[in-house]
Amino acid sequence: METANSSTVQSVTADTSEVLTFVVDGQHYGVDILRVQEIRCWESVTRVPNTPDHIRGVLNLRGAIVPIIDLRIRLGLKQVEYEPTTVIVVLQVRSEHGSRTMGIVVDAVSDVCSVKSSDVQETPDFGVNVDTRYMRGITCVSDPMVIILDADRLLSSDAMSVTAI
Amino acid sequence: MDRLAGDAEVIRLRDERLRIIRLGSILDVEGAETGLDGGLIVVVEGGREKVGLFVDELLGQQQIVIKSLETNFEKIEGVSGATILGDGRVALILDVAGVIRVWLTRQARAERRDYASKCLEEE
Repeated sequence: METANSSTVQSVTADTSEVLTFVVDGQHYGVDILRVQEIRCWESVTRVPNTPDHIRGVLNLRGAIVPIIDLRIRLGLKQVEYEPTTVIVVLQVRSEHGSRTMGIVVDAVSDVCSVKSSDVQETPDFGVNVDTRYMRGITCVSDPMVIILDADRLLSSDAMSVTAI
Repeated sequence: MDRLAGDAEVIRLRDERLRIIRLGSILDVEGAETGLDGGLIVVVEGGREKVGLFVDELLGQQQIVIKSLETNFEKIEGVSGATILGDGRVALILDVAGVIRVWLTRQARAERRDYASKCLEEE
């Protein structure tokens, strides 16, 4: 019992955070687990017209209408056929409009791991070719390397904004 | 169906002439019906304008509860909201005035493009 308590305490200390990791195009990515609402299997969505390519559509999540974003397209990777391991990770995103619920499509979820903030390195600058604004950092201590994403920036209003008519 | 200057399509309905808006192209639906014989025209009125929406098929009529798309998403021109159907799927609700606006904007852009290419040819 005591060990369980101490591990809970450890997970909420300022310098470690729990991260849900998932795979997109062979590369591991992570998001803060406190932002993850649920993980569900891929199911077909209702397409929404005149939206950017990475927005697959909207899904009925127990009565709430939630936009679904394909992370592959958002990250500029090539689109693939969805497989049985393809899942939707439902995230809470905070923006100037308050808290929103959104889903991202990833190839597979892999793990939950604790990451010390001292192990997170700042994302290197790749110039204008790679948009690193939505990456919070990279952990290199663990193998494989995990890119930690900033959900708020990844799914900000700018990224969601509707394309010109 | 008559064609007015370029892309503008009109039909005669009794004493009126209605502009046709192809919903498939406004909503960027791939594989939408293109031949007017293969679909139906729904006469709608929005913002004091009457137009004919060209659709593939009519499914039915039902009462629904409109849910906002903006709770978790953004405002989308031509769509006023969404609803959840009996089988759990999401259906989008069209805003007729918005659809007309989108169509007019695109029409104006196409005209500008045509004009620009004509000017280039003349040069």
